[in-house]
Amino acid sequence: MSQLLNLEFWSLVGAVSGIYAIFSIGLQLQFGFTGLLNFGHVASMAIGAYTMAILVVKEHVPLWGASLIAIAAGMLFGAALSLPTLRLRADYFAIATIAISETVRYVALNEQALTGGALGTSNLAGPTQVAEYNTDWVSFQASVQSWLHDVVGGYAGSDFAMLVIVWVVVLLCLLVLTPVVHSPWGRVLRAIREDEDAAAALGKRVAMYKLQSLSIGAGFGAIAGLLYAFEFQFFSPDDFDPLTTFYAWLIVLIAGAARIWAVPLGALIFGLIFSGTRFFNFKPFTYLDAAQLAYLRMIVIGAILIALMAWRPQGLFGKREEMVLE
Amino acid sequence: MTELLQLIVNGLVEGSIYALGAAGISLVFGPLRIVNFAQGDYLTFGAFAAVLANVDWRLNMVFSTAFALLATAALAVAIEFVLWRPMRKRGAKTMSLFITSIGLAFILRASILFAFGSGEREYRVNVFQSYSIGGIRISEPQLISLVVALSAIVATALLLARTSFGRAIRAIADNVDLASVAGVDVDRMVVSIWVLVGILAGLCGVLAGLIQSSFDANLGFHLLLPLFAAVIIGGIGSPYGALLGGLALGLIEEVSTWSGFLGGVNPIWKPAIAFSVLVAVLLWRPQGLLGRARTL
Amino acid sequence: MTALLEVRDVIKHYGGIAAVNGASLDVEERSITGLIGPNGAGKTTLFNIISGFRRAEAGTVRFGGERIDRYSADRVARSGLVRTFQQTKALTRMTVLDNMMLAAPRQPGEHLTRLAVSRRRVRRREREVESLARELLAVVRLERHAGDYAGTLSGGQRKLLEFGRALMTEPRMVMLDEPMAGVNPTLGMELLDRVQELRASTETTFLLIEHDLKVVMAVSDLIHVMSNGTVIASGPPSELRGNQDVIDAYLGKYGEPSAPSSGASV
Repeated sequence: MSQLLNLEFWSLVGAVSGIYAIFSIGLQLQFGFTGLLNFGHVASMAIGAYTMAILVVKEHVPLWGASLIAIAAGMLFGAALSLPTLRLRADYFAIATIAISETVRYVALNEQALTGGALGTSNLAGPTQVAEYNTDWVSFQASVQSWLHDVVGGYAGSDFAMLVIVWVVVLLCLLVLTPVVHSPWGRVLRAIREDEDAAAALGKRVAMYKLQSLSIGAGFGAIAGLLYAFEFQFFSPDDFDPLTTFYAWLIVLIAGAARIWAVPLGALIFGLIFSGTRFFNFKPFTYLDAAQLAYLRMIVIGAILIALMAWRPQGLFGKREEMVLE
Repeated sequence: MTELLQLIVNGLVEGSIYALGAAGISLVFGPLRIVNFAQGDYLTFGAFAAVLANVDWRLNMVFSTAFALLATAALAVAIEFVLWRPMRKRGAKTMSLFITSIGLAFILRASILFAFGSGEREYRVNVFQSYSIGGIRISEPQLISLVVALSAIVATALLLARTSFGRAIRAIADNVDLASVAGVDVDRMVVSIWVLVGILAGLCGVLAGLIQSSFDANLGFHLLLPLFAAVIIGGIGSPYGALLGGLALGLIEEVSTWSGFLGGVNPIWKPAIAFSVLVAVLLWRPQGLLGRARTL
Repeated sequence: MTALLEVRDVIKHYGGIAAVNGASLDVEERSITGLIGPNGAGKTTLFNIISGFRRAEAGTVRFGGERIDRYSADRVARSGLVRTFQQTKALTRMTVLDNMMLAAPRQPGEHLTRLAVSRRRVRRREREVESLARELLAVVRLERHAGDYAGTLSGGQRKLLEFGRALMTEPRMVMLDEPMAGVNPTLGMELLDRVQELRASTETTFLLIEHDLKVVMAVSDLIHVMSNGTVIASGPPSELRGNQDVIDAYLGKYGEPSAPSSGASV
């Protein structure tokens, strides 16, 4: 029971939820606003994280510069992803994006010299050294922590500092994106989501808007990848498998289409459910070991996905009428 | 030359398994418009049902396979009644059904993990027995799989082409409303389709497990993307196309490593080959080999 | 004087059959021109080719002297040639007002860089666009529905919305694809009244495909008749009335003053 009140634990849950929130905001732009079925979103996360780590460890680029380049790399990837959409129908595009994201993961897995291979980022400097990209971040986090210490006192552990940093970024993302999606630009995106032929017939350059949507969405994915890398201080290709994309889809569907502020809420709910099962240490769950609890969690997530599709396809925060009109 | 022939034989072994799995996906998509992301886990279910029969109950592989086919068919029908039919009655469209199938995939895979654990499993067969035919090596599991799979492929193709059942399936795949107006009992046909799909998926899973010598609960999921690739290569909406696409994909994957192709592709890239072919087909010939060109 | 729209010898096959087989026609500026013909004559295909939604295999299309046959659909629209759809494409999950405002040209707010930099200009144009949209909604009698989701409108109202949307783009020419199809005749006639008013008051040219012969005869300055993929006759309504080819093409359906329109009421 004492774990239930453990601030460090909940800080971790909160931070990871925040990272997923940013990741899902990117997907929301692509799917919720533009109607693009991107099932390979995790690739942008991978590209963000790996670009930064490779630049820091191998090329000795300072952390902040490497991070900016990583975001740019993610956006470039998103732009490239728009090429298949030009000629593909929605569900074919979905499958193509999964294939592309798995290929990215595969490259990360097999190009050991570039990415450290299956052993992950610790292998980036070669088998003789344990590589670290995190040093600058750790000192940044420590200074945030000491600032927080002055503000809120003894509660501020390093996990708490991370939590604050992540959610400040979430807030910034929301503040930047909200006016953009409510602008005429956002209106064109929504038109494309509804019927891209109609949008084209009104003179809108549909391909360009799709490219922008995918690119910016991938940029958010890359930011999420960076924060993921900083949070866990180590990652490997396994961290970027399709399951992560599906979690983002779950969050986006919980939030409802075209709702930006609902996404972080969805991410928190998701994070709570995910880690909440940890606390099922009462019967009958005590008969299960940790692995089995993890499987149970997967079953619960699958059931929630189906339940959402069956009973609340508009998400927790969407409007029913919009669904009926679909 | 023998290298090339060896690769072709390997390709046929892989490809025939792909073909069975792909046919299952195609048969579900045509009439039901479901892109079934859980199909991989139907395969895994079949493989593990056979493990149960073969390892725990000590039945021989023939009976175990038969059990697996029945069990998977039963699973497929049960899911139809519990999930797909109610969702369809609610008016769920392709997108909702796709996401539902993802949820189903989670549930199935986690259930299998729950029941069997995450360790590797294998059948009680002799994986080391192999034959050499004209300089070409083929292990006993591979040979059995090839023969069984090819027979199943031929049987399925004949079923689709020559029987009234097959005709009804193709009618529904073309146009559900028209088919029901023409007197086809769509609801019953759907159940029959799931039975067939269950059998194909179960067989595919068992054979995939057989030639891999050991496998875990991710068996089906790892096959899923190559299977989708095979369906698209062969042409969405054509079960024959899926069969053909599966064989083609298997051959492409293996033969691409032939040293005659400028040294050949490094074998670790084989899964990436499937994806690259998939993307290429989607870009240049989206209707695949046997699909109809649609005005996109 | 060259016509505003010149179509010459357009050919397009679908699966071995020539849907359009050497079709040519002209549309004069500031006219209301009709395109009629039995089902399968190739009218819709030709429409799709002119508007850039399909690519012809041979032939040319000139708009305002410029060759547009290789243009994508959005580029054709930006040249000032705008179309509506037979199966209306009302953007159902957006409001009627949003549908209209979307269509306005020259919106700096639609471009990310200008959105970021020229905030004041963006806001000003938005206000302009909104009042223009409301004005046009009043013209098509939909001003009371401005805040409703377009999906709640009836079929006829959606046609009016699409028409209003097309007008928002400040087009030189509007192509109407079966505006009367599936629509309550009263609403349909309203739309055509608007067309005539607009032709008189603005410089807009109209090309309509229609099945309802009575309507087309009443409203058009000039009519082209298509059959089997080519234009078999062109002329003012009075000239076409006695034309044997035209009568044959319609197999006697033509010429009955009380022929019921094929559209269902909504």
